[in-house]
Amino acid sequence: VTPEQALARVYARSDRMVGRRVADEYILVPIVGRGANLDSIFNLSRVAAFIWESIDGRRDGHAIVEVVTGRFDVDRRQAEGDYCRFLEQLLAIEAVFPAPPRPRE
Amino acid sequence: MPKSKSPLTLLHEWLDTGDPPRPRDLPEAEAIAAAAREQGVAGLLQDVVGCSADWPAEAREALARSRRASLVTGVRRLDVAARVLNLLERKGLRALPLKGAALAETLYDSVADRPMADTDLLVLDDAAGARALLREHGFRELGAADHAVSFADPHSSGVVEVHHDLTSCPGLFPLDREGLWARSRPAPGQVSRVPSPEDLLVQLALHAAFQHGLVLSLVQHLDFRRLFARVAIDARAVAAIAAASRAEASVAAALRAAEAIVGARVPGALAEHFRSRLPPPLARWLDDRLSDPLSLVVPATPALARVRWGLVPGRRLELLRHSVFVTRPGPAEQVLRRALSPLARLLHLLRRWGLPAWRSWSCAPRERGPAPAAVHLAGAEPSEPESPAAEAIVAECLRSFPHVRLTVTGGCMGPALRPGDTVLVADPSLRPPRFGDVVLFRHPEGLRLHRLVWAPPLAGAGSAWRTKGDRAPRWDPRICSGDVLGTVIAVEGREHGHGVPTALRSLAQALLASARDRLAAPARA
Repeated sequence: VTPEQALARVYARSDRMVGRRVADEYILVPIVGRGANLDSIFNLSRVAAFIWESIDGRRDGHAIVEVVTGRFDVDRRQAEGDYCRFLEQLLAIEAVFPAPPRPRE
Repeated sequence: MPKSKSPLTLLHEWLDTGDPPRPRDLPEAEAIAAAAREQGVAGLLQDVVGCSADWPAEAREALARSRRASLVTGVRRLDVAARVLNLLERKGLRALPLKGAALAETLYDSVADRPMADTDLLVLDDAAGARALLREHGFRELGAADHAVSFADPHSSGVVEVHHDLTSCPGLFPLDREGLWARSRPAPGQVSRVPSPEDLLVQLALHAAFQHGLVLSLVQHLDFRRLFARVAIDARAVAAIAAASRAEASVAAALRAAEAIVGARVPGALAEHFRSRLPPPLARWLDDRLSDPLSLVVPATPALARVRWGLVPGRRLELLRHSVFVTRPGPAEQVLRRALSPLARLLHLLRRWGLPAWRSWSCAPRERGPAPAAVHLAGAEPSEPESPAAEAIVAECLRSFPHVRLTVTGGCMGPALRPGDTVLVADPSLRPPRFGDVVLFRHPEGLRLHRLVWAPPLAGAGSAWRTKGDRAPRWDPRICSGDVLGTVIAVEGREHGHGVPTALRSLAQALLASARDRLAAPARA
């Protein structure tokens, strides 16, 4: 996925991955797995956790970068770079997928 | 050198007072962390000591790892719950989460803070259909109890227990399935629907009291405190649900335990309503146990038989019937298995908790609390240990049968009753006790068969009654009519006349002894 595609597309979170805040950490837990294998979980930074929660199957990458720059002290170029790198990781672990087109209202 | 407190004691003190434990060194910190994991409170402990300089960094990291592991297992347990609930819903079968699955996401800040060993669900419709459906979808059946079937989830190592009733002995605590569903409410987490807080409270109490004899992990006791702290509880609704499910004693017992063990603040109206719902023998036993609150925290051994017996006064035969004659879903052609099942069940129950309970009742006087009294039915010094349960058993038998046979073991009722005599005792409702009768009654040291020397028609309504062994010089402590469990109506193999003359003699004797005592008192002083 090119950065342009990542920013233009709408993604949705997989229901096989659950994000939970615990103490000062935000952790992604894959549902498919056995026991409490901690190798399979992912610790997210504050910005990553915010992006994860913003991926809702409605907003495209540009819209999400917009809210990130509004929330955190970061310029747009930096935010776009962070978003694209994080999305690539999420796609690699199948935590997100391209959302199907929404029917017109 | 003062003896150091056990890790469990330190955890209990933290939950009771709010002061987190301060370990002296790394080994002690690790021991406390290990105990916190066993008690399900590692996540909560990490929350309070995560940045504390009193705790070595290694121990704090161990607690953080425990918390992450608990999060992972919790999320996966809830996922199993959600998948099974969806599966059942698609087939039109209603079900709700129970215990941890019902409260981890609402009463705790994180699923990590309320560990679950497995996932519990209550099926409200067609339990056999639900069982078949899960097998169809690859769930492997691991075992069946009388009230639940456990399955291994094909996608994880998790175990899901599918209940068709809340506790063992299904039917003993009637389940209002329609009401439970109607009162349930949507939930925002992985599990989309949970029981109402009032239903949850009654369920937790039944589970704590009847299923586990009030011996729980600290986090399970903590569930009650969290419920009161986080949710507004409708006391009238709880009272109605508990009454309908005949669980009032269970709720009363669980609340008292949670108050004493983890400082649960039971709302006033609720405490007021349930204070009088605890049967007195069970209340006495519970107060004794709570003098050492850790005796009701795992790994303490639960006095399961004793607690169950105490929870269902007036329904003991029902308890026995439900305990022995268990109906499990299964092929109708297994006639032999069904016929033998009550016997096997009885043997299982005796092995599981009958014999340990008997040992605990009959052999081991507890270090704290009153010494056990004796089953001693005619007087003199107690010679054999006895349990309060003996009283309950006799009372239950008297309510259920026309009369009960008892063997006399002491000599103070001679010559009317001699050691080895068998007497027939009838319930007071069948043969109201009168002056001169020999009665079976509650004595501070146990059950006694003594003669009524001050009772109707001599004693007025509401006044105390007096009893006395015929050969004893003094009368027994005062009793009330409710202390009399039965009236002796016959002595097997001998004539048993009404004892008015003997009672008059006994009364005169007791009055003389009393007068002598009063006269002698100033001299002794």
